Amino acid sequence: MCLQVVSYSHLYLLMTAIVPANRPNPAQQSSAFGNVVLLSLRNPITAFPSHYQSKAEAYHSQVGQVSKDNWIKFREQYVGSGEGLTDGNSHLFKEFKNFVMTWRNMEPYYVAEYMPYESWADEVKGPAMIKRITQVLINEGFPVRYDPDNEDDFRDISCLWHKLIYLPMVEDDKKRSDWYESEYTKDQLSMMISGLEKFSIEIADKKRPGDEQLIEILHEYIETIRMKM
Amino acid sequence: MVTFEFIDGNIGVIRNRASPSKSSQKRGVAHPSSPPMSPSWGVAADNNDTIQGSPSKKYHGRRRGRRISISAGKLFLYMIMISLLVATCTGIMRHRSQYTVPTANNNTNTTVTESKQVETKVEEAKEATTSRKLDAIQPLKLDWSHCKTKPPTQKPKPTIDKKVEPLWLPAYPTSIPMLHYSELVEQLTGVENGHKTYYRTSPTLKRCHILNRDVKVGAVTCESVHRKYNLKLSVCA
Repeated sequence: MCLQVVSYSHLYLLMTAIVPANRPNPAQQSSAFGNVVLLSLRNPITAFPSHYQSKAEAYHSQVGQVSKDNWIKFREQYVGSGEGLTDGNSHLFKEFKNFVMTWRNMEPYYVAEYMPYESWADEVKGPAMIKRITQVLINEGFPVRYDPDNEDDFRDISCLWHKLIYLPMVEDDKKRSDWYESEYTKDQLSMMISGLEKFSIEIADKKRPGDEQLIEILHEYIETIRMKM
Repeated sequence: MVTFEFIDGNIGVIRNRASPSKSSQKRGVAHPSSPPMSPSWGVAADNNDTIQGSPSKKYHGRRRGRRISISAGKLFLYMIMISLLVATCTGIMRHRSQYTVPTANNNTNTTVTESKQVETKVEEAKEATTSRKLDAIQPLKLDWSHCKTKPPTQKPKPTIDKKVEPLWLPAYPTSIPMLHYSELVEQLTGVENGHKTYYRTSPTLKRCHILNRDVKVGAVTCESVHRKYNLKLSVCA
């Protein structure tokens, strides 16, 4: 018998599983953090392959894109496959939903701004999102150089977005220009659509702060996935 | 009655089976001694006895030549049967190419079925055409030249009176352009390394808080990446 421990980080996880550390969860640390939360999320259709890619780079010294065969194996194992696939038994989808739901429901915090990855690269949504983040920071008492309601300052914020976010993202994107697009089966796409639809219905009932924005984001995700069907 | 006559690969139409066709009759009379161009006809053509027979025999010019007569109805029937055969074969081929997933209810050989399923999907994905990437960065439509001509003004860092605790920034893996975001926070607030990671620990840093220093703003945002991996340990014999 042999035990393969892939990396030191896995060894750390293994040890913490054997001897569970008494690590405080975010809700227990509310005195050391502000009341509001900025939640960053991404469409599962691109988040899953990107997550897999980043893991391969971080823990397996992957250079370049992971092979298509490996992506498909990962996808079949963790997104799930077959006719009985639902959002309830898809490991990655459940994880995605739990992540958002955990932070959305966490007391005493509330989500002041959802930051979808897709908005960062959008020339209209990107600056608008930074404007909202700036407003959140001002409301929470942070020192902020720019007044988001001032027209000149918003122009500066937009230029900061252009210089610090958009152009570097374009450069990153160029490096991946010859990468294949990570695809899914129709069952998996259908599962994600129905899962996101259910998700948006669930949060429409509960009405936590920021839910309207979250529902809008989820609907955009649904539409994006539908285009791939 | 209309019949089709196959004679060594050539086809002729016979209006009445009882009498020879007009065309063959005509040809037979007009060229009684001229053999067709094909070398195979030459043997029969040399035999003068055969030429002097009936008009059709004169035309065919030999005794051993195959002569098959098929009625129009039969020909039509054959064509339908051949079409059906071709359609069936095409249907089977298409069905086979589309048939990817074996029946889910089949409990026997589940692992074999699953591996076949994965293999089939690998092949499918290989063949799939790559359309526009979903996460590709879109080109700009608006005019951003003003950012070059008049870059953002560097404003002094505003001062604050009371201590502010960092904000949680839970991030789904790869959902935030990390390096670029950190610089943005620094530019917006003037707080150096304003964006921190919850897991990063040093003698002076723990859980996004700077230790042993009285600072008003230690961090602006504290990123907590969702890292709930299923640790898969492979145990081998």
